Amino acid sequence: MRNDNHKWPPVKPLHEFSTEALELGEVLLTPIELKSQTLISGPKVLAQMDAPLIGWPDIVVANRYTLCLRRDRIVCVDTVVSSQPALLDSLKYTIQEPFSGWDETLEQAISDVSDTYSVFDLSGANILDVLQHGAELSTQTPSRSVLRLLFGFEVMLYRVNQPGCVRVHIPTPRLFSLIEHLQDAALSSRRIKRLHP
Amino acid sequence: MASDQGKSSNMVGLAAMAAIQGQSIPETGTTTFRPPFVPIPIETYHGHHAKTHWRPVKRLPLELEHRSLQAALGEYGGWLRPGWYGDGDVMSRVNHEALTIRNRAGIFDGSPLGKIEVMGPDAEAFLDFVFYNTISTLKVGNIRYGFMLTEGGIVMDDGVVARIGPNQFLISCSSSHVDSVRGHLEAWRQDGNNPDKLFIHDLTLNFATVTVTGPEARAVLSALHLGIDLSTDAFPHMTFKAGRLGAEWVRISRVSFTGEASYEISIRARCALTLWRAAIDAGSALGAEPVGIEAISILRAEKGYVIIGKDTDGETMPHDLGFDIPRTRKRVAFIGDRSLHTDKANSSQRKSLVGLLACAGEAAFETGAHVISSDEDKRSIGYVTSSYDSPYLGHPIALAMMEGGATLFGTTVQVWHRNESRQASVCSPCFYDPDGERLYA
Repeated sequence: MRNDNHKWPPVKPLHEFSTEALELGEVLLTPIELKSQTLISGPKVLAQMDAPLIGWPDIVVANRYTLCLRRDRIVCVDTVVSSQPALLDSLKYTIQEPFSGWDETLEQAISDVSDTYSVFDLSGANILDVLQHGAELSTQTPSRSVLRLLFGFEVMLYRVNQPGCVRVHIPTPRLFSLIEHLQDAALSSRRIKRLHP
Repeated sequence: MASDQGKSSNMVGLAAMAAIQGQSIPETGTTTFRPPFVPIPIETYHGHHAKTHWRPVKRLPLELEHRSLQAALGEYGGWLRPGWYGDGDVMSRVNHEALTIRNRAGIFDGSPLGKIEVMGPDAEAFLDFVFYNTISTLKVGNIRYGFMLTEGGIVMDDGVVARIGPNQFLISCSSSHVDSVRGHLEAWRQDGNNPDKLFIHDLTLNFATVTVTGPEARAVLSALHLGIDLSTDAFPHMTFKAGRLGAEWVRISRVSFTGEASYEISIRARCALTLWRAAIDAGSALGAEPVGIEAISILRAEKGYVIIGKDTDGETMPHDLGFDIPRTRKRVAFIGDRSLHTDKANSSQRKSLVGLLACAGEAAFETGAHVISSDEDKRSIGYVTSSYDSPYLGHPIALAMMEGGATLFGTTVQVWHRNESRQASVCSPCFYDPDGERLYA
């Protein structure tokens, strides 16, 4: 029974990450606000999705896409924060409340996980160098799954819009630890680059 | 040699040998050095896993709010959680919070509580298999307490299961066991079950949970205007309902870890602060206050509720905790079943849960103190697992695991700790409201 307030510095309010980009060394961190993230599991789920199915090192260019986690599990991502119909509307669901349930017809377990993950983009010329401080990651080694261990945390990781921009979904309670790791890695990467240009 | 590869001991040995020979170390000769030739700080090896990065705690959505309320934050089950609130003497604060719950109501951040959904046509049969208790008889809208066992029949977690729909269940396991329970369920899903008819979604982090507990809990919830009938008949203990806090959907589960009428309100995590402040505002007029995990720990011990891993050990089976019926009557197979019928499981020497009372005026027993046999051997027949000076009951209470268990109720035993031996009365582990009048109120 002890007070460890001093040991763990206070977390930053989420809105600080949600409204501004942060510079980490030569890497830019930009918080992303998504409309929805929906976890769907089912024996045929990979074949049931119309939206592009994303693995590594695929580059997402769509506003609505499907992240492949494993052979029977995906996360549907809708990036459009507007009144446009969501991807899941085509599956008859509108995620207006934290929906969760079993669909008999589609044989799918469906759960809204929009509040589980915080999402941000990392961009910069040496972004892979920075990420390689905490993950075994190479564009030469493809994977159907976007799941990765990054600095020991399970994240979803893939590229968006261009090769130098990586998007990360991290469980929110781990967000601040991951950003600390990324800050250290970005600074370390910059030091190494100066020593060995 | 070991971890320093002789870099410390070898130099001392060489110097000693040189001194005996009356020579310098180079004249005496050195052994063959093994790399690393130059000492390397251990820090070099840990990479990015250092200090707070070594085992980072999970952060609550309400952490900043707790800090603003002067919460003393500590690591509990991998989360940074409020132990108690306010400055000053710690035990005074904790006791104040415990009494607040017993007399009025406490408001507790229970967000780390497990929320693992099991879905699919085989979900019902699967839960019968992974739980010691029968889950298939649970009706939609109801909640049941249960144990998960290892294959060896050892209790690995306790928690409650809510039936949301015919093919949808919600497991609320211990906060600190969420990762291990999810792994356990996923492993058994893929081994011996049809993984195409059964899916497990861990939604723990998607929701924040605020618990309101105490005799005024219903009044606090009433002031939140959740749009549900809170009367005992409409909303009894061990049921749940969906409601709304403003425009936001909430799920309210009537379960308790304090022995008082309690409501766990879950809302999507981004709305945690809205719910928390609404509960605090509604509760302030009724004398309700925020409470930390230390006060809850006292109250659950008063009620005889166990914490798995604290009041149990690597040998504890469910019948040691007083839950014997499924072992003898459950008809379908379940994990650990066979192990519950071995000679060891049936031994009369097994340790089981009891309560201990100290003599009037004496201090609380130390957790870990041994219960000593009365024969000449004076051997340990058990130990104290939880011990508190109960502010509500006005005397110390303790839970213990000891041989003989309930057969020794009413007898006196010796409790030994650090060369001090004291007498204790063995009693039921439930010290508070044994008939559950307050729980079911």
